[in-house]
Amino acid sequence: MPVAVKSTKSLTKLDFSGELNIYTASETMDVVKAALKNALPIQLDLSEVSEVDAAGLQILMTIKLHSTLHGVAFNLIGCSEAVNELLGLADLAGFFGEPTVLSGIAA
Amino acid sequence: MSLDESLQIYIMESRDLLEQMEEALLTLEQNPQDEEKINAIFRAAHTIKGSAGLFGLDFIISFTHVAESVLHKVRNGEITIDESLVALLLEVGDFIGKLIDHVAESKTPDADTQAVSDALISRLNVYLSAESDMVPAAEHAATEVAAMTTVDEAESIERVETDCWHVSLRFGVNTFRSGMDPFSFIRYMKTIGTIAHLETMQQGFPALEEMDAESCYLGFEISYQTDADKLAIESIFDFVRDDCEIHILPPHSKISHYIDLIEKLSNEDLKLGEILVKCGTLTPNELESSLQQQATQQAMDKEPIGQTLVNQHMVQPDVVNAALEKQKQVKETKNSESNFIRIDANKLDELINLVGELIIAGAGATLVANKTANSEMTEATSTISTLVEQVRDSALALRMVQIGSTFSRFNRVVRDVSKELGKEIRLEISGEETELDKTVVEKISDPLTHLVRNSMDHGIESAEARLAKGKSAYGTLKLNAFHDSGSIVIEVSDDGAGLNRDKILAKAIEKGLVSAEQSLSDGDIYNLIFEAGFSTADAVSNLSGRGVGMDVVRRNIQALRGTINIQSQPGLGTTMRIRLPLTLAIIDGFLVNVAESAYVIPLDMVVECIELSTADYEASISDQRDFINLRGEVLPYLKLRDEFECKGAPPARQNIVVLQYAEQKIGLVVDKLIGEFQTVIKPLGKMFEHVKGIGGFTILGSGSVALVLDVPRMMQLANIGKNKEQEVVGVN
Repeated sequence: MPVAVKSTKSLTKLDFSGELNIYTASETMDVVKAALKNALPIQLDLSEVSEVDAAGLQILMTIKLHSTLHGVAFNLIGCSEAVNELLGLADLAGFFGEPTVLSGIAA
Repeated sequence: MSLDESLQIYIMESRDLLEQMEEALLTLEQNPQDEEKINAIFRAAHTIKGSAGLFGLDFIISFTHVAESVLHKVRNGEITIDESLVALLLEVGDFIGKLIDHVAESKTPDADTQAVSDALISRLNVYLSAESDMVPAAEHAATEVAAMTTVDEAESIERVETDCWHVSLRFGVNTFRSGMDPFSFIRYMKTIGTIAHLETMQQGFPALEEMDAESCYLGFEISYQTDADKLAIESIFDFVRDDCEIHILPPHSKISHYIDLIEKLSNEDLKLGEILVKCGTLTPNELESSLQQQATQQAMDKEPIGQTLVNQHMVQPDVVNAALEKQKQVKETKNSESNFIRIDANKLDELINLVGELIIAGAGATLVANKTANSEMTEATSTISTLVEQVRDSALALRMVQIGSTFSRFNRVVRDVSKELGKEIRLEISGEETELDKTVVEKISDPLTHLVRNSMDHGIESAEARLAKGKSAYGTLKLNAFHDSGSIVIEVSDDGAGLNRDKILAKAIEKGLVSAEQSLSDGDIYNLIFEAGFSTADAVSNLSGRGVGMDVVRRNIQALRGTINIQSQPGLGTTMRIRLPLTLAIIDGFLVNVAESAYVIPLDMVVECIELSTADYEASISDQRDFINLRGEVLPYLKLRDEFECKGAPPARQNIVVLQYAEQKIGLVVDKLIGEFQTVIKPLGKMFEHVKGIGGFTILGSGSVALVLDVPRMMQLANIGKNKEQEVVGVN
């Protein structure tokens, strides 16, 4: 499973791992949709993502846009090399409020 | 479309491009000033490289890049095209072809390939560096400065400040489903330029609940620094152009173009303006002025925007005209492209198989209709069979291709071989619009190559020998094709020395192929060169050692139900004539009966039908005389009854079907003539492959089987060539 939902009462935590790409996108999206129904603050951990492509990026962007729209907090706590590379390419590090310090530790 | 399919398209397109490149190079060799051809070559190399980037085929990119750099210099007139450069570029083309083959077989290049690649690159580099040696440095710098000043002057009209291209991309919703990754384009862009700024668009995104993870919502605004021209940047997006919105603005573009862009993507307009500022494409002032202009424009709404800008001296009219012209051209090429579709050959085969079954089923229906003697039913079935016939013809026409492309490939062969042999040989091609079945074209290419090489090697003499004989110094090789009674004829002729009849005969006797006592016609002796193991000893060269002997040539042609013969005149030249059936699948047949069995003769070969008179029949029994007098001409015939060893007595009235093939006439004696019949030729099983005179079978409407006669083989059986040479000559 490319995404594990570890929610608490006050937080929806999504741990992504492995391949986050077009092959897993549909499955991942279903999980994400179900997990985000509760309008709790969102925390993403991308430090275990080995591969990410445009389809994967879209999911992340949708989550971020969703949080902005509903006014819930969004927090990215870790990024793998692969994610960093793509965010750099798409110049979206600022958009996600990428934790440069944290990613440094994670990597 | 999956990635695999796109890759297949890439492979096919690259091969087409390489062919065009080769053709252009050969033209250039004759006429080095032809700028259009230089551009064509450059474009071909460029497109191959560009598209390779999409698939991450780095070995193609890195090699083609060097070639492209050389071509770039050629295009700018910095290097002049000469014979050795053309030769090198031809090799480069071949090598790219090899790399494409690697891709097709999904292999990566091995060490050998790499070595060839390195060797070619170092030879190409000679041109890249030699150029700077030729022009003294100072002078070079001076021209450069001069060039820059002119550019500056041209650029001094009001334009935006940035020196970056602006690329605006909105990917189509099905981009992922087509197997494309938007970032592969971005990554590729980075290899031929620098992305100064990239903004990922968030506008197109749906709400979380409506998001379909397999649809693409991405869009980018990119500020891009590169030396590539617009065409090159456009070509990056060749594979997604159809369903994506792509706008490319050159550096120092007129503000109007940005207004256009903003208008086109108007649902995002204000946001887009901001993004352009963000990308550094526009300064805030520029944005403001352009939005203002846009507003005024909408208020007036009378003059087209281009006009307004011209009036305001913002854009030179020439520039607008040029842009319009360019747009028109692009449109036109797109239109002509859309006239063709690529179809999987298997689909065509399937269609033709189905048409075949339809014909058989139709024949069954007609038979039933005739039996019931219901006139309405008969009429209906006859209408259907007319239509089926038309469907059959157009289905078969789909498979027909012109032989021209096969012929033009020989330009290269002739060029290379003549260089190798040190002979000057010109190729003349005619009848290139002649059409034949695609499968036949594919299979004829190899034998044809061998014949061409053979003619050049053995046929055409050296320049000195030619001059001594009073001929022109250069030899001429002709390729010709035409249709003739249901077959296609392909001729390879040279104006060389002709075949040496005595030498061939002596050799054949020595090899034990014929005995010294046999009396043979010239044609028979020439045909001996097609025997296995035959080679005139003093004529062996490295060209003949290609593994395809003349016997293989003949076998290949026979496998296509074709024949080959040779005409030669000592001192004047040789003509080799290949005759092939037009199609391998469905023909118009002529149905006849012999002793209760049905046979089909290809209708195209049938000339007429006559009665075998009792007198002639009796003569054939009493004196073994198997020919008749047909209006003063001798017509030899074969009795199918005897040929197929049918039992029982012949009917009182027998008929002769007169056939013509390869300028010979022959009669076949049959019991009963039935009539025209659409024939779907089915191959015989392995067991019957060697039955002589039968080319296949077909299924009649009644469900019974009819054998299809192989007329060329029948003629050989009749041995007309050998025993009746004199009479046959008389016939024609």
